[in-house]
Amino acid sequence: MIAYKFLRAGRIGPFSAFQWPEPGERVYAERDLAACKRGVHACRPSDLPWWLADELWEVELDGPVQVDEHKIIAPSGRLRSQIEGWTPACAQEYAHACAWRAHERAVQALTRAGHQHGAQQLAACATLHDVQAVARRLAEDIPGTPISVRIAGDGALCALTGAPAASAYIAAHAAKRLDGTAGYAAERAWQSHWLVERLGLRVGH
Amino acid sequence: MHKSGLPHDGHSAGEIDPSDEVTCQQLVELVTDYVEGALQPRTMNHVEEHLVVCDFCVTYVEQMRATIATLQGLEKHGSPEPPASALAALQARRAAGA
Repeated sequence: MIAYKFLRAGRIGPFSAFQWPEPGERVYAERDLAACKRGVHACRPSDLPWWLADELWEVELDGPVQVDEHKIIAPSGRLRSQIEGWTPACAQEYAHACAWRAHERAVQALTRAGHQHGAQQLAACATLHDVQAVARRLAEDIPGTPISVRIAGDGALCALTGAPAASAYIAAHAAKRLDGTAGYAAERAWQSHWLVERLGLRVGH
Repeated sequence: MHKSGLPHDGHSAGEIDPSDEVTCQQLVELVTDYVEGALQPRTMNHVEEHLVVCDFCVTYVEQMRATIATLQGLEKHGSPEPPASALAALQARRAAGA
């Protein structure tokens, strides 16, 4: 099965600190699989937004694959090739896209709450710096401002400071504020789709 | 944020809320078990998801790992004994009723 794996720079497992061998060299779980403890952990495309890190690799998994929440686990696997498109610039682009999604949610939240003028001001923002400043001002000026406005300001800040995982997280929670768990799931699906399209990842293998 | 207490295991797949997660405050409570690998898988998963997005908690976990490693090193080497001169001074002080 082909899947994906985020690693720290230098092919290092972000939590295990395991140094992955060169592409093509297979690794095996020492014993039976255990989520977050033993086994080769990897992502389906839909899992990717939860696990962003420095490097993205295509991996080939072998053996019965265990499906877990936001990840899959296999008894063995090997790195095939690094996804060259996942660069700091791409991560930044992704962070910005997510921040703008959070911004859209905040505009919707203001509209729903009857703050038309505030919604227009926020909608008119041309840059994420503007989003950050306007969100802060609206939160101070309008009593009972929807929390989504503050969230949008935080999302802009994360995107501007190079924190793509946090930016994505914030966009998902902005969606949850507006449309509940379904909104959250839809936003995560949108984030996965962005990565798949932008990086040309394989789906359903 | 997670509202129903700490994440738990033993639920059916249908009950999973994709936005279920731990907060920074909960991570502080869980950090020792996390570092020791003693958390239930689902909780472990949520802690790691949190660490992807929270640099503050990453730093906290790293500090905890370093602290535990240092303490384990102390246990391994034992506590240094005070010098004989210091012990003698303490005993003399005690004998004098000070």
